Amino acid sequence: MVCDSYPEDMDDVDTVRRGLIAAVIGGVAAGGVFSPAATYLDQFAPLSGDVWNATIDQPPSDVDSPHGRATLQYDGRRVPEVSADEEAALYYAVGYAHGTDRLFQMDLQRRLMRGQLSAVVGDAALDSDEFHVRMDFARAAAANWTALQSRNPTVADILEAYAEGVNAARDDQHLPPEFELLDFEPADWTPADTLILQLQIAWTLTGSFETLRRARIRDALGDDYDALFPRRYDHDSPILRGSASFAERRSADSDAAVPDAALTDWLSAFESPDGVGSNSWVVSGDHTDSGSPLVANDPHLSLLAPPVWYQQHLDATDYWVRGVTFPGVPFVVIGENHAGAWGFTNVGADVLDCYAYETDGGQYRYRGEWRDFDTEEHTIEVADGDDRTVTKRTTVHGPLVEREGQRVGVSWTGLTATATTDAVYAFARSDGLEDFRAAVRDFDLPTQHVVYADRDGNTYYKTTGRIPIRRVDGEAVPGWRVFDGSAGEAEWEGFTPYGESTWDGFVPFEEKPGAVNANYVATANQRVVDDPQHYLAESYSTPFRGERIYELLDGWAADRDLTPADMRALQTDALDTRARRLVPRVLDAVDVESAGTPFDALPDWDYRMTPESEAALAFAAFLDAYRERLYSEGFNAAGLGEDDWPTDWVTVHLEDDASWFERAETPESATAAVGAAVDAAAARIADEGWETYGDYNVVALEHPFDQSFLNYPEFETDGSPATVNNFRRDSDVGASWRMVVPMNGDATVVLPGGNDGDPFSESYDDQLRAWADGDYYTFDRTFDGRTVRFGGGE
Amino acid sequence: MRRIVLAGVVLAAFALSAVHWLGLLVGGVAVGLLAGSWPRALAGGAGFGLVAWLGFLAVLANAGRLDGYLASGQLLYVSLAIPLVLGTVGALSYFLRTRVRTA
Repeated sequence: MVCDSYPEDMDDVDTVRRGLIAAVIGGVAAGGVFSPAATYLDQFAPLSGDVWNATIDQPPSDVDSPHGRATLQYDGRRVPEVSADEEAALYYAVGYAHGTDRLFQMDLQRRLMRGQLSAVVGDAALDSDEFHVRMDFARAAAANWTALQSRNPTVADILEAYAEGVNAARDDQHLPPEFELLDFEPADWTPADTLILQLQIAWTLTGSFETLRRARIRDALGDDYDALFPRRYDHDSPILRGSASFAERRSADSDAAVPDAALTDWLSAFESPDGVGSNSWVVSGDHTDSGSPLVANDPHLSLLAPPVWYQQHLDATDYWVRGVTFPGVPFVVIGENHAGAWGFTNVGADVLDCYAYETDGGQYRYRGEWRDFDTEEHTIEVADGDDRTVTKRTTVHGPLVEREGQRVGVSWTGLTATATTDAVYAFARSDGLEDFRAAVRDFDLPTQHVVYADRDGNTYYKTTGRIPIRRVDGEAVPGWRVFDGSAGEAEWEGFTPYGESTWDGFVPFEEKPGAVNANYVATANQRVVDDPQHYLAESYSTPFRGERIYELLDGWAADRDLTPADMRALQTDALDTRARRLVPRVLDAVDVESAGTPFDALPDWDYRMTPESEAALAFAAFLDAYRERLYSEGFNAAGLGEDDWPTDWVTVHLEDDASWFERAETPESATAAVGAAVDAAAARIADEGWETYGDYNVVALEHPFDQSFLNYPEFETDGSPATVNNFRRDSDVGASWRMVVPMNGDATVVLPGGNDGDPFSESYDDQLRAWADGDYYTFDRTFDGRTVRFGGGE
Repeated sequence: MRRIVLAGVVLAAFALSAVHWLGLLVGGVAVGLLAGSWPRALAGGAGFGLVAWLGFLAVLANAGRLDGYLASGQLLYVSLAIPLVLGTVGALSYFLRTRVRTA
């Protein structure tokens, strides 16, 4: 019905109605602009939302470069090929690619290391910021940059060109979506930022407060300590085999002081996540089908969305190089070039010492005199909270880290200028073994095992990085205790924190383990040699992976020549030698048939941790329960936690007559613990509804924001913390890059995710499924995607 | 004539939507003011929002981001709800007119 006639008294009703409607529409508009809803509308409204503008924005076709012509072209996996005649132009374009694809990740990492996370994420990051401020990594990076400019102007110029490229990408395009979500803009990228990212990687690999942790555990456990925490594991698969039986090194002196749990636990939060390590090996052409060497590497780092690595291919006039780098670092770190290929694994060398001091207010005693701490007030900015002021203190040894009245001085080899950047730059240009070996001498940090092969058929293995020699009363001592800093005990000769070091008192390059043209050398973070000339490490990783790699290489090499396919099979090998040791014991102790599914699959199991395996599920759940049974109550009673439990090497070798079982809070014996653990595991499997190992072993990688649209999809996968195919579901650590490089063919590779950091890009996670399935792709040279041409500046 | 005006206003609202979400509300307001009845107004407002969203999908598809968007879960729902709600609320403008068609 249409109201043709309109009574006058209805006018008032109409006015009210129109007023109400106008208020609703106006209210929505005003609310959308002025209320908290404004953020969501500004970010997520279709067509105009900042997040969408960020993701649909692509780099322009033409970019002005102050360094001249270069071309950047992506392949179908968003891997860039960058080519230029001049290196400054080349690395400007590399910076542009990193700034386009990974800018948020780069900014987040430098904020972490500079102690500036709280400024954007709030007080949840305050502890982290305080630690990083006290360690003053920023000052170390600045010292490194100062030294680099005078030591190697060529590399310094490249870092500056790279930084300019990053900033140009930032200025030319919308910022990545994460910046829109957190509503901040990144500051200029600088060469010191590149150097601080290198420090971040080095800290992840070598920043260990194991000395403090072990001291606390030793105090808490007393006589049981040695059996549960041996300095050396008894095995026959060191990296370099055939050396004499190892000698136990013992430090006769005790710790100068043992900080209590408040400091140790706080520091432990900023160490490497559990399981950081790697595999690599190099096989001589004498043992390969092609007659040319093979190099394989899979570094085990935190698995993140996006990945820690960025793939790139660079073409210069007189060399090409491709592989992976850390976003923020211009040079290929692991990869191959026109002359050879190389990879790295972690040594686990002891390059961090702690010192206790006699103190009095703002002074500490040092070699008979009282000295003032060098102090500096630093304000940590906190988003939506009160800023925190931290007093940074340093001694002659380095930073003083403090918590609840507990303090230790810290020396770490990363807190001084290093030539690592020179080395990585030189790797890309190296023309073969001798060039590469010369470059390795400059690789000061972190301590790494490098494997290398060149296209002339040479192979090389070397322990790299600066390793201090500690001396007490003129005698070399291990670094596994807290030293008396006031007495000047065990100081590192030639080390200058936050300055330039001479490295006089460090292990000479020639005296670090190495091998040229060996048949094959395999590194998996296990003991380097049985009897090293110098003290190298406080402890090494469990040798499960190392022994398995050598077991397979020895077996295959005895029968036939090796191929790249063998190397891929070895990298993805899922046989768990923990199971091989422990399952027979379970079968002896328990009637697994009566335990039912999946335990009844254990007798016929091949010990492979594969998704379809019922037995692998049974073993994994059993081992979790077995550790719990063995250690939980005993360690709790000693004031220790799960993070303090012994390694699985100790667990699988723990015998019934171990003194550990004499404690009131521990099981009667290992055998008794097995039975109880099977029952607990069966109950857990039933509760969770798991049927096979694939239900348990899921790779679920999270973005730092842990939002569903930013996290990676979940996949079941092979492997365990002890298999060559290394995957730790509890800490999301595993193969962060798999690479097999024959010297006479194309490399095969895979990344656990994708090369593009944009969460809406197809290449955000386009390699993840292949990674989870143990597949690879050929790292060929087909680049037919979007092209960016750089010009000007000549 | 009204259809031509409607088309022009809706196109302008789309253009505005590309730079600010208020364009979605304005588009709904325009549809409401020009609608012949309130059911048409509200349906038109929601329809405007839906078309804006479909246009948004086309933009994403052109940039190679459609699959990632469709898998984004919560964000997809939010970004669909925004134009539908704004378009519909804007279309309430029908009731701002002096005389309204009640059926």
